Amino acid sequence: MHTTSSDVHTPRQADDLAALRQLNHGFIRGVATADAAWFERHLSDDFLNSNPDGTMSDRAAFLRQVGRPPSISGLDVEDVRIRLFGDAAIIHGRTTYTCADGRRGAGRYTDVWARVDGQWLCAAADVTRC
Amino acid sequence: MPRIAATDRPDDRRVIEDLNRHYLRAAEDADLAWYEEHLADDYVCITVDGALSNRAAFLKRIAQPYPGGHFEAVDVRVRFVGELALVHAGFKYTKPDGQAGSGRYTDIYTQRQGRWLCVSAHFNRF
Repeated sequence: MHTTSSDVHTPRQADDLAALRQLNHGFIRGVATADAAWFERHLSDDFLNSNPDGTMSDRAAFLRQVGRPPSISGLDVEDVRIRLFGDAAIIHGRTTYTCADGRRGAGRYTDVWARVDGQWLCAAADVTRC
Repeated sequence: MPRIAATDRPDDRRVIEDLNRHYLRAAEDADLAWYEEHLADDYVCITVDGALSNRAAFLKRIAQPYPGGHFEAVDVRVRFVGELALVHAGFKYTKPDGQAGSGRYTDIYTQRQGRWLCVSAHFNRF
C-alpha cells in the first residue's frame, strides 16, 4: 500500500517521510551548490538520471555534471509530493530558478529512492525544464 | 554505494515490457479503456510542459487522439527497485506536420492485488 505525506499510518512511515523530505532538500541544495560529495553519499551505484535534453547519465557522469558550477541560480523547490511504497519512494517536485541571462525558469522532477541496509539512496531521477 | 535495482526477474520483466508496449499503443490509439484498467488511482503524469496531471486529467487528455503518430519505444531499460518497477525509455514519433520527433520517459509501476499498475509517468519531448 502506498503512503503519501497526507496519509501516514505508523511512526515509521512518519520518520521515512521526514527523512525523505530532508533528502529531497539535500538533493536540491546539492545541485544549487555543486556539492558532488553529497551525491557521492546519496546515489546508488546504479543511479540513472534522465536529463532535460533527453540524454541519460549514469552515476559517474551525473557526479561530473553536478560537480560543475550550475548555470542557474536561485534554485528553489515547491509542490513536493512524496509517496512511500514500502522500502521505496517516489518524489515529485516543481523547481524554480533564474537562468544565466536573468530569465526565470521552472521545471519538474521525479526521483525514486530505495532503502538499503537502513539508508535511503536515490536510484533514479527524471528532470524536465520548461 | 550498493546497486539497488534488480534486473533478474524475468516473469515480472515480461509483464512490464508488455505494459510498456501497450502504454505507447494506447496513447496512439486513444485507448481510454486500457488506461482505465492499468493506471493506479494515485497515478501522476508529468508532461512535456512541466505540468503535473492526476489520473482524471490524464484520461481526459488521452481521450483526444494525438494528430501525429507512429510511436515507437527505443532503448528500453526495466529495473526493479523494491516494490517498484522502473521503465526508462526513449521514444520516436511522427509530429502532426510529418516531421520526426523524439522524447524520453520514465514510467513507474507497482503491484496492487497481484496486478502491476502505473503510478507515475514523466515525459520529455524534443
